[in-house]
Amino acid sequence: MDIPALKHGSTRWNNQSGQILAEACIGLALLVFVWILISFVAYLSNNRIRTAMAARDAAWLQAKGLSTASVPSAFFYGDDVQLAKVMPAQQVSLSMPAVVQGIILAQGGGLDSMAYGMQDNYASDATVTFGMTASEVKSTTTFPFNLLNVQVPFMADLDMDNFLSVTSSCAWPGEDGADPTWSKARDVARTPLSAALILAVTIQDLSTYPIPALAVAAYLAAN
Amino acid sequence: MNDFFPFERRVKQLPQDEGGSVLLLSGMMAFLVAILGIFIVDTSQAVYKRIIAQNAVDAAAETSALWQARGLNLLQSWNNIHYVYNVGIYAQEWYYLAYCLKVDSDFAKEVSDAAKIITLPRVPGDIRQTQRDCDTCNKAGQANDRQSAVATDILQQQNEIATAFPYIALVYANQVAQASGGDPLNSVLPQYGNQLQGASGIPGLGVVTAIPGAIPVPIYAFPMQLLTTLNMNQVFLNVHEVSGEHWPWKTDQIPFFTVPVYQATVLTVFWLPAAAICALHGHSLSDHFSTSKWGWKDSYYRGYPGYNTWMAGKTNQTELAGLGTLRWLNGQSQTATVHYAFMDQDNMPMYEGSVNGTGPEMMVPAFLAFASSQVEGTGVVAKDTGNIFDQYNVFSLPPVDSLPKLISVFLPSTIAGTDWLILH
Repeated sequence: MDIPALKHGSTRWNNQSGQILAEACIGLALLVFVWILISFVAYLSNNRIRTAMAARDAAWLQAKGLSTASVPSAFFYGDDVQLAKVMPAQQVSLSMPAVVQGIILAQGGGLDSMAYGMQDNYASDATVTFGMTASEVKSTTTFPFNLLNVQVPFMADLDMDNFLSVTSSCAWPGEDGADPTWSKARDVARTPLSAALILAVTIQDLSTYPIPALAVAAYLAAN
Repeated sequence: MNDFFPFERRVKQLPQDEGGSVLLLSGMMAFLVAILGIFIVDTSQAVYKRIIAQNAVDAAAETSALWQARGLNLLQSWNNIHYVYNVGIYAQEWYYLAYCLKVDSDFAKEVSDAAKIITLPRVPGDIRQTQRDCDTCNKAGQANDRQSAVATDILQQQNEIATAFPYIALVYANQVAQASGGDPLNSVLPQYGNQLQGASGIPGLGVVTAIPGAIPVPIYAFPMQLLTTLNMNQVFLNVHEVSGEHWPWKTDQIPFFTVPVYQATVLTVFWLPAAAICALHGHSLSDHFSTSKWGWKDSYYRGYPGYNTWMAGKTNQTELAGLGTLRWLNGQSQTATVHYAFMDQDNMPMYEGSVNGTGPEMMVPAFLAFASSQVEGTGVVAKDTGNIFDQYNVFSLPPVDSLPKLISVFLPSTIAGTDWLILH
C-alpha cells in the first residue's frame, strides 16, 4: 500500500537533520553545567585562599586588641566583602606539658620561674568565613550563589553548607595590654617567690637598711 | 535477508554513521573541563596549604620572639633592681662607717681627760658608748652580708628565668603553630625525602631530616638554630652570668685614691679609719669582711638577643579526585600493550592491568615555610657611660657595668610609629 504520508513520514524518520542540534543542546547544557560548577568551585577556592590571609591579619589584630572590622574590605573584592565574616575572637590557652616541666626542673628552672609562663599565655584565634549558609542561599540575589536557587522539577532543596562557604583560622600570641613584653620593672614580681623577694627588699629592709630599700622602691615606682 | 542480522548490518554502517558525534565530542569536552577544574582546585589547595604553613611559622616565630622579649626584659629588670640595691647598700655602708667615725670623734672629745683613758675600761655609760660604736661597725658588715643574700636570691631568680624561658618560648611557639593549622614536622619532613640534605642558606637545614627520628612527640615548629647547637639558652635568650668589673658589682679590686674618685674609694677612705677605731675598742670588722674581701664580688646577667629562623609545614595530600593514581597522569608509569584481535585492529597498544600506576602518585605537595624573628634591643646588660647619677643629673661618673635604666627589649610591632614587620 502506497501511502504518501506514510512514505513521507518514513523519509523524515530516516532523515538525520536536526540530530546535531539536539545533540548540541544536550552537550552544551552539559558543558554549561560543568562550566558553572567549575567556576563556582574555583570562585570558592580563590576566596578560601583569601580567608587564610584574612584570618592571619584578623588574628594579629585581635591579639593586639584591635578591631577586625576592616579585614573583609582588605582581602575581598567588591560585593564579596559582604560575604566575608570575621567570627568573634576566641582564646586558645597555651599550656606547659608535664614532660617539659620535668626538663625545666631538672635543669634548675624551678616551679616559680614556670609561673611566669602561666601569665598572658594565650593565643588569639581568628576565624574568617566566606560564603553563606543554605538557608541564606534560598533568598539571596548575590551572584553566583543565586544560581543555586534554580530548581528543576523534583529537585530537592539545597542543603550543602560545606559547599557554600569556606573557612580559615589562624592563632596569634596574645599581645594586647599596655605592656605585652613585660618591659616594666615591676613585672619581675609576677611570681610568688619573686614577689616575696621584692617585698623583702623594699618592706622588710626598710627598718634596717632604709637607703637600699627606698632606692629599690623608688626605682620600681618610677619604672 | 540482512534484516535478520540487524547487528551485523549496523556494524557495517558504523564507519559512515555520523550520528552522536557531537554528543560524544561534548562529553569529551565536558570531561576535559572537569579535569581542568579539578587541577584548578588542586592548585588552589596547594596555594592554600602554602599560606597556612606560612601563617603557622609566622605565628610561631612571633610567639617565640614575644617570650624571648619577656624573658630578657625580666632579666634586665632584675639586673637593674640588683644595681639599684647595690648602690643603696653601698650608701648604707658608707653611712654606717661614717657614723662610726663621727661617734668615735665625739667620744674622743668626751674622754680627752688622760685619767679617764688610763682608767679603761670605762664607766658603764662609756661601755655603752663603745658598744654603740661597734654596733655601727657591725651594721656596716651586716649590710654587706644582706647584700650578698639579696644578690644570691636575685641571681637565683635570673638563673631560673634563663633556664625556663627558652622552653616556654619553644613550647608555646609549637602550640600556636598547631592552632594556626600547621602539621607535625615529623610527618612533613619525611615527605621531602632527601631533598633537604643538600639545602643551604638556612642554618641546619641540611640535617633537618634528623628531627622526626630524634623527637618522639609531634613538633609543629622548630627553630633551625637548635639543629646546630643544642644549647637552649644560646638559641633563645643568649644570656649568661658574668662577674662585674666595676662598682657597684665588684668593689674589692678598686684601687685606693684613684682619680677620678669613685664612691667606692670614698667609702674606702672612711672604712679604713672606722676599722681602726673598731679595732681600738677591741672589735674587728673581719667578722663580716676584711680588707681583701671588702665589698662583694657580684654577678649579673649579660647577653645579646639573637635571631631565630623557624620552620613549620603542611603535609602533602592526595589529589582532590584521586586521579593522581591513574597511569595517564603519572609520567613514570610505563604503559603496557595488549594484543587483541577485533575487527582487524591487531597489535594496537592499549593499557592493561590496573588503571592505577605504580610510580609516585601525583599529589598536592607538602610545604615547608620559614620565618625569622629577631628580638630587637641592645644587650641585656652592657657597659656604658650611663649610670644612675647621670640619669638624675647629679654628677658624672666613670663607666659602670650596668645601665641603670631599663633597656627595652621589644617586638618590632611595639615600636611607635612604625609598621608591622615580619621578616621571612
